[in-house]
Amino acid sequence: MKKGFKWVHLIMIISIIGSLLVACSSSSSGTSKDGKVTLKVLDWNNTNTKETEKMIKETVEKELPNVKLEFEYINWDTDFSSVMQTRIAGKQLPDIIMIKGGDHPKYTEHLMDLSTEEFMSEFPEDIRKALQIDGKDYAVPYTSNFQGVFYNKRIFTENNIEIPKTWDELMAVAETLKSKGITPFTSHFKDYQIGNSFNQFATIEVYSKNPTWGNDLQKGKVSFATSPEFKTVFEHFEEIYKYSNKDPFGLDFTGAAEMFAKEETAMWIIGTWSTAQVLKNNPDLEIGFFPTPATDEKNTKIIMQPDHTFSASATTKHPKEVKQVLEVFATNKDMAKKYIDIVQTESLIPDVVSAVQAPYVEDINNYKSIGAADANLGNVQIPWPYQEQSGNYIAEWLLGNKTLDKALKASDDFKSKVKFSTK
Amino acid sequence: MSITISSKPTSIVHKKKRVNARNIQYFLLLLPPLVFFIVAMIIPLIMGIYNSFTDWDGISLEKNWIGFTNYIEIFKDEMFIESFKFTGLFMIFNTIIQNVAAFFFAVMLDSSIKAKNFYRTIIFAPVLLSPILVGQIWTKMYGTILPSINDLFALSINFNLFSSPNTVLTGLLVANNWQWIGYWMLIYLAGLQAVPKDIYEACTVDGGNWWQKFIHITIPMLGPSITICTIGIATGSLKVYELIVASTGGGPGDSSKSTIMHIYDTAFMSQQSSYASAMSVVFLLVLLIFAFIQLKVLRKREVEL
Repeated sequence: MKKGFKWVHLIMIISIIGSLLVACSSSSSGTSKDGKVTLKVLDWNNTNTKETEKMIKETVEKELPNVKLEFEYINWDTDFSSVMQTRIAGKQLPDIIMIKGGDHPKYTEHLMDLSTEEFMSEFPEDIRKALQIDGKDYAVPYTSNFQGVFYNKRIFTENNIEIPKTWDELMAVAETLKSKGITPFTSHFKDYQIGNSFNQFATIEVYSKNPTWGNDLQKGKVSFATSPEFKTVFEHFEEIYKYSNKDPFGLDFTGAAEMFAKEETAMWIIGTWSTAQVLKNNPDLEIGFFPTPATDEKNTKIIMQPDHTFSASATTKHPKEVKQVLEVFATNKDMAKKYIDIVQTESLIPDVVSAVQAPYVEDINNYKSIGAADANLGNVQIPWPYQEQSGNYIAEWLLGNKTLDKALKASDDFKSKVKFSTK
Repeated sequence: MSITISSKPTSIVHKKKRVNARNIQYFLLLLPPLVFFIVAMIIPLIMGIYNSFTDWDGISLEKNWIGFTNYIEIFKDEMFIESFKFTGLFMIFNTIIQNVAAFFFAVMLDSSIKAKNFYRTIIFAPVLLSPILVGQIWTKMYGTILPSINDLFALSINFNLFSSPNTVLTGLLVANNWQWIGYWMLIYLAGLQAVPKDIYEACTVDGGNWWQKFIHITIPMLGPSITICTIGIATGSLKVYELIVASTGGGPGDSSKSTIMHIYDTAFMSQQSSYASAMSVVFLLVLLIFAFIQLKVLRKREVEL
């Protein structure tokens, strides 16, 4: 009797262990019982995601009835690279990945080569080229953002302010506004703004003169400390800081959008991703746009960045279906139009124009036709963590913990602490 | 005498057999956690140590053995040293403030004051929140709630402790202590309640006052609790991450970057995985040495009943 009881014990224990181990083997993306293929999509877009997800799912599932999409959202500036790194290490890269234009060189080994796909020929040569690596396509271009200065039209008209074309003119505008008791700039140095403006200023002041500055830095041909242009970039921050809202180091993006929407400030140096958030707070705000002014007027150009692009994992189990979905992205103009209207951005799909009617969209279209500077020129050569870290040194300088020369020197020293994505 | 000797071996044999049968059961029950522990802790630890001797970037398919280069680099890395200093200060202040405050509250709430259950709940409540939430609560607190007091009374006190490198440590200490004092208070309370009342009575009979009771009875009797709390607070502070991510993000500049955060950023943002692994190994050694010294020093001071 007692012996039998022991056996019961053992069997129970073994069954518990067994059930635990069974629970461990979770099912990943794959074919379900009804023959549908579930594809995982990693997405970092954070503007109106519920609406875009619903719209994309409906469109794709209508065109490809055997495919089901499963979205996963992450925050690009804080999480994207860590999530990608862990997924790659764990061999669990999602089937379709939204990659920010400029990030591709880092991940090419793990992305599907799309160069021979027919749908890639839909795109004009210059857009493809902007994202190609060694002449190969790894992504379907989808949207682009534009960066520059967003301004409050009402404040500008009421104070008879003309659009500044050089940095000095911008500072004169700031001085005029300040003397009238209006805060000129919205600054949210708590999160990524310094990093973003760093690339904006560098694009117009540095890369416009030397397009390979970042590569030269890597090779040791140039340095922050010896570059008068980069010193100018750093000094721009000091001037912006002087004319900014109170306590910019305590303000984040959401707070900044609220501040700009409430008309507490006149200008905001940022990109098109901010407008949706501003208009949520104040739908009637008249937002205008002008390019970030450079010291030299001829370098004052609107800054464009290929933004949302779609890539496929090289190791996906369903390459056929993944390519079909990417084809929908590349060719379905109706979906592309809905997408940019929801996300309030510009499309890279030919002939797709936004229906959003706002003063800043008109302004952007005007400046775009004159010619744009590519933000990824700098982004590819000086990777985002490097920009962010230099931003931290700028912050320490602005707060009086470092001198300007030390901040420039520290940026140089960080070179050995970051992986460059280009060789 | 001879009877006892002859009976012993049989009982031992019998016992051994039963223990063995039990052992299999226990071992089987322990197997799943053991497997998880090995898979989730031991294997990654060994892999991490191996990686720290390579030049792996975390993504690339190739790894090259580079020996101690990463380790030499650490001691030249100003950021690592700065982050280590910050973490050290954070730990020292936390250990002192939390121990003293938790002890104080425990003694207070162990006495016969009114509504002590109410106070215990109030002080303990923040423990239940996640550090992410605490970070956001205090960001709001310093950023909008406290400054509105300024507007109300036309004052100009600088409440935003998170936006200057000089005050960010204070700001984080306030948030962290607000959250954890209740937890350690509970441990001290349990310790206090385990102190036999007759020792105090004996002291009263001998003519000792409350101060003498406190110094000669309460503190020595709480020795084990002090050990647990000190080590718990110290290691917890050294590992601080979520609170900082959710409140300052390591800023302004790098002024509130903790060591763990620096390691994380190096591995996942700057893509220097092997270098980050080397830093982790160094940090682990520091933690181990630290815990060992603490244990040695504190155990000496404990009294046994």
